[in-house]
Amino acid sequence: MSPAPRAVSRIVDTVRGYVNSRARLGLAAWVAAAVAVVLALAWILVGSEGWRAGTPLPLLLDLLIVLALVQAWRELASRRERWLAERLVSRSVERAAGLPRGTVLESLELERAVPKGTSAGLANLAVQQTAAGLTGSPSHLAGQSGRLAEGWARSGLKALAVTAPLTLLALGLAPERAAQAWAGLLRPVQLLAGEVLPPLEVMPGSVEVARGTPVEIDVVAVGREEVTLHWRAVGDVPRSRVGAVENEQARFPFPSVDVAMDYWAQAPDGAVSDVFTLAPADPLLVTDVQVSLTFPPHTGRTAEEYRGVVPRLAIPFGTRLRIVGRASRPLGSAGLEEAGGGTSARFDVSGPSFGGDWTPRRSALYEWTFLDARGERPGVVPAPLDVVLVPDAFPSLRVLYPARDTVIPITRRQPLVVDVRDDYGLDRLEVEAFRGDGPERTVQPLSLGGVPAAIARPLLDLSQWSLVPGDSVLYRVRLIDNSPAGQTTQSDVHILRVPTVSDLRRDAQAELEDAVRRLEELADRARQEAEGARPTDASNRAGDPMEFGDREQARTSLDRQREMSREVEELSAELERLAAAMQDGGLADQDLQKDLQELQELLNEMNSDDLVQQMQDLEESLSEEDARRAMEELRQMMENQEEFRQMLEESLERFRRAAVEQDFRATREEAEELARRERALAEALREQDNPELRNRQQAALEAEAETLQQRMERLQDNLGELGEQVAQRSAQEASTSTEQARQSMREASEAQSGEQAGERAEQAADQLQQAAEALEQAQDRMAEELTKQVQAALQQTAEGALALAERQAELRDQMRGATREEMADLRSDQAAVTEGARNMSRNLEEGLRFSPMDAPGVSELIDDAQAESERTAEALGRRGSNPSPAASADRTVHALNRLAMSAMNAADQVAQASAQQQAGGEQSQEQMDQLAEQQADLMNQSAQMMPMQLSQQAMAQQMQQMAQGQQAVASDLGEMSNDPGGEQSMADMEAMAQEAQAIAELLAGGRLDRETLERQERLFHRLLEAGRSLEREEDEESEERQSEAPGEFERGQISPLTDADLGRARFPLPSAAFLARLTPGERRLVLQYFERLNRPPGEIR
Amino acid sequence: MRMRHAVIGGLLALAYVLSPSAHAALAGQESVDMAVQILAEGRLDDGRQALVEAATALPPVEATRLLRMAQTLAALHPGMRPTAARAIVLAHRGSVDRATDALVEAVEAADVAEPGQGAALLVFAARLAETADQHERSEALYTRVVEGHRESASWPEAVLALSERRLAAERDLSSAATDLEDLIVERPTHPLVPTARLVLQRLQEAIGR
Repeated sequence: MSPAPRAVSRIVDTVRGYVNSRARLGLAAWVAAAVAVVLALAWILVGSEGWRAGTPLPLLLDLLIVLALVQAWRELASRRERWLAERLVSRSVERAAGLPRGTVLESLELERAVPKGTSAGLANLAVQQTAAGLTGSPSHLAGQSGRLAEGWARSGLKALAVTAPLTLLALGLAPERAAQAWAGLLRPVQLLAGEVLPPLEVMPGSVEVARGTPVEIDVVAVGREEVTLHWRAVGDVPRSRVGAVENEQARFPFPSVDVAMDYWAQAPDGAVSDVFTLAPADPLLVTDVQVSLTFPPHTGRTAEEYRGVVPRLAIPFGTRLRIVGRASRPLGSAGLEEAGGGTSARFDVSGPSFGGDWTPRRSALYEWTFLDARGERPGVVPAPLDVVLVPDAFPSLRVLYPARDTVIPITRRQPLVVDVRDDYGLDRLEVEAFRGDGPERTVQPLSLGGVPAAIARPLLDLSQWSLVPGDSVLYRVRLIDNSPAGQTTQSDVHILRVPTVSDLRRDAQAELEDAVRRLEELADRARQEAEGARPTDASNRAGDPMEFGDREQARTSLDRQREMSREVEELSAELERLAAAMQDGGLADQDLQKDLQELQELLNEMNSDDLVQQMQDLEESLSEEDARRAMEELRQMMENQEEFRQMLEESLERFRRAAVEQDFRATREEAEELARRERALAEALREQDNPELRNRQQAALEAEAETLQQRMERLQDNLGELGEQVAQRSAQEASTSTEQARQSMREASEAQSGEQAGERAEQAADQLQQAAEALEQAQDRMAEELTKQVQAALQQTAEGALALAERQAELRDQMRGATREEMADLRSDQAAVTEGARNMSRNLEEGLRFSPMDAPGVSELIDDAQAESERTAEALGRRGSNPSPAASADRTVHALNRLAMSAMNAADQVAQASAQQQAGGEQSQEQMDQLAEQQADLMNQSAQMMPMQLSQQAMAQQMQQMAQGQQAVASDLGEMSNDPGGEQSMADMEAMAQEAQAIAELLAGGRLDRETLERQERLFHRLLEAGRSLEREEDEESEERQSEAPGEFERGQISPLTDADLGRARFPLPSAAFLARLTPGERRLVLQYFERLNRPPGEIR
Repeated sequence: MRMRHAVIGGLLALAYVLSPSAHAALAGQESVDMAVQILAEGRLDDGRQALVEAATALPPVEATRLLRMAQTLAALHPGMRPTAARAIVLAHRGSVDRATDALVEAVEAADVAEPGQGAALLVFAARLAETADQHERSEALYTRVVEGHRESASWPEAVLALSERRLAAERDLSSAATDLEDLIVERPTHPLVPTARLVLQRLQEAIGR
């Protein structure tokens, strides 16, 4: 029996083949996945350096692969056995083909052998039928087996899909590393069996090198032919360089190390060194040194601080230095050492910082000493500290004014200007004054408040001392600093001489000349102001705001006018002080006092009430910013300014004249005094008591005569400038007489006999007296001329007024019955009358320009007449005017008549006053002033005679004359005390008369000493005071005083003393020698200039 | 009718005499008479003062005349005052001719030491002549001053007075104009110069015609 055909077997085989292929695919996938994993592990394990020699890892990995393969094969075998088992496959196929269970297996068995008893055909048919039922693809027919195989294959592929990308990623990331890793897998045994070389040695390892310096890195690579040095600088990509190994060492030079750098070496055998660092290091630098100076308290200096460069330290002894600083690296020590050895200072160190306090005791150059933590010295150290210790110096002073022996002011208060300085501060200044021959001694301190420098202005007040002309006071300035020791410096001793009457006269002259200069300056300024910009046309309406330019212009004008007014006020006040001081000082010159009073009144008139009110109004307008009102006020103020300027010009002339007149008086008095002393000397020369002394005295007087002559010549020039030719000729004659007197004096000095010398001296005295008389006559002539001039001016005014009155009367006649046209013509005639009145006013002002006299009321009457004339002209222009033009003309005539009468009356008064003055008619007060003047003259004579050391006879003669003079004063006082109408207290008068009598007796008895002189001076002051009392009484009688309720007052704010108040000066004054060369006025200007310079900035305008 | 007029005239005269102004005028006249009498007695200063006081009681125009006299007395040199006083007395008593003669004689006597005194006397005389309507004489005196006393204080007044007369008479106009020009140039601030300018202008207009 033959088996059935193998149709089913083929099909089953086909299915088996399919399942087998799937299983193999799964195996391959799993193996590949395992290999991929191993490759990835190799990539990881190999590191960046590759496989090291002797490493077992590649071998282990290879074994891992093998194990994976074996395991996979075994797994495959196991699975194939299960998946390809005939029963399973047959069952799978049956299920896939939908055949009954066991069909396929039976068919297979039938194909292999038909059992006995079984029809072969049937078997074959059964096989055929089964085969026919097995349709579909092998994958379909595989059924359960196929699915298992496919599942295995898919799992493997999935694993591969996961691992393969990792491997590929590693390859992609580091192909070289992958190659090294995987190459190692190919030669695991070689790697395992490789020779192990000594490790690489790298020098210098991790070190700091100076920044920018070259570095060589040596790699000791025994057994290698080459070695690779890798490095990675901060901020740079890793770099490497291959170096050949020679003598087991490779060298890698680096020209400059500027940044920190990690480096390592690698050998081809995989040996890798440690990673080292090359750190660039800066040199040890000491930076940010700060030196704070704390000065000793008494220096008053605030702490100072220096950072960086410390200059030469010139510091007071005892100054403490606080030093702090910082180095570029941690420090081991820090300090200062005196150059060349000596003292040193150590400071605390903390890391890179150091600091400490140090008080140097010696001036020296101190060098810094630093060591870093390793004991290295820094490359750069700060400059040495140059310390100069300055000991506390003595204060210094310089008396700038008066700075030499001088004349004490008539107030007996001597202002001093002292430049004081100290290195640290001044405590006080003391002015010590004493008399060589008297008991008086005073020390007047002035606190300086610790300032280091100042222009101190102490006032040496000797007003309480009983000083007489000719006395000398010694003084010195002492300066004490504020150091604990109170170091003291004092000036030389200077002499203050109490001025004689002659000195006072010249002082007064100098003050007047100074006033002239100041007025000239003021007049210039007023002229410039008048020529300056005028207010713009006031097209503004009330309430309009002011333009900026207009406001500034108005304000500037206002400020300037205020300044000028203030200066005039100051000048007036100075004149008042001068007048009082002259009297106090012993110069009871009535003419001078009158001049000063009159000049003062002139100045006071300049600041008229109108002008003051105008300034106030303008100020208010400017504050309110009312343009129209302000412009109007400004215009009016400028009109008043014009008046101010004219008065200034007129006053200037009067001041000039007053200065010359004072010069005149002083020169005359000096001539008289010189004559008196020369006469006294003549007597002494005749006696020949002390020829040497007399010769010296004669020479001294001759020198004074020379000075006097120079003054006379100067006076001539001044008189010429005033146009006083007559007086100028007299001054010239006086000068000639003085020249002759000098010649006589020289002859007296050279005379062989005392008698001859006396005669010559007597002759000189006569000539000097002639000079004095010539000057006196000239002075009288001047006064007379002036009186005539005033009279003439007043009479001309009267004449002019009457001429105009007649003219007005004619016009009045023409007005009556005149037609309108005629009236119109008459207006111009009337205007001519008005203009004539104006001319009259100008002429009167011109005529009284130089006069100390005034014509009270005349000027006002001219104004009245002018106003009446203007009203008449207005009446002419109006139809039906009331009053009528003729009536108005009548009033004008009347006004002109009144003016004429007033002018005539004034002229009469001038004449009477002049006559009265010549006749000597005086009031009580004037009599008292006259007596005071006589007493001053006597006092002056005593002061002059006392130091002459005349012989007894000569002195007796002189004293007899003085006694007579003193007796005359006593008699006059006695008469005044008996005057029943006298205002002065009877008892006072009698007491003064008795004192004068007592002094006269002393003088008659030949006693002329200091006590006599002091009594004379006391009497003089009593007379002076009596005169003032009388003046006050007269004033009280003439003025009706009204008490007023006190008004409100403003409480002034008291400001703290400024530097300027304390006299500190930034700009020192010129030298004393320079100041001494200036006139008083110039000196005042210079001092004011420097005061302005030294004012605080806020006050400078 | 005539009688009635006489009565009315008498009543008016009485009313005038009794009126305050008339009373004042009469009192003023008495004062003038008194002042002149004092001058006649040789008390010149008192007389001058009396003239001034009398002027205060007179109408303005009359007062001006008296004040002129007083001012002339005051301005003259003491030596010349008696002559002027005498002239005043004479003129007041109606002997203007004698008064002017006395003044002129004094000037011609050449004892006028002070400069300007002669001119003052001549102008005074001219004024007196003027009041007596002796215009020719007045003009002659003014002419003397204008021509011979150029430096005196009275010269401007004389120039103006003479020029006005010449203008009124329309003669010697050029000469008058020249004098006025001199006055304006030489005494520019004199009170009469503004009037002199007007007169000069009128003179020039007259010359132009």
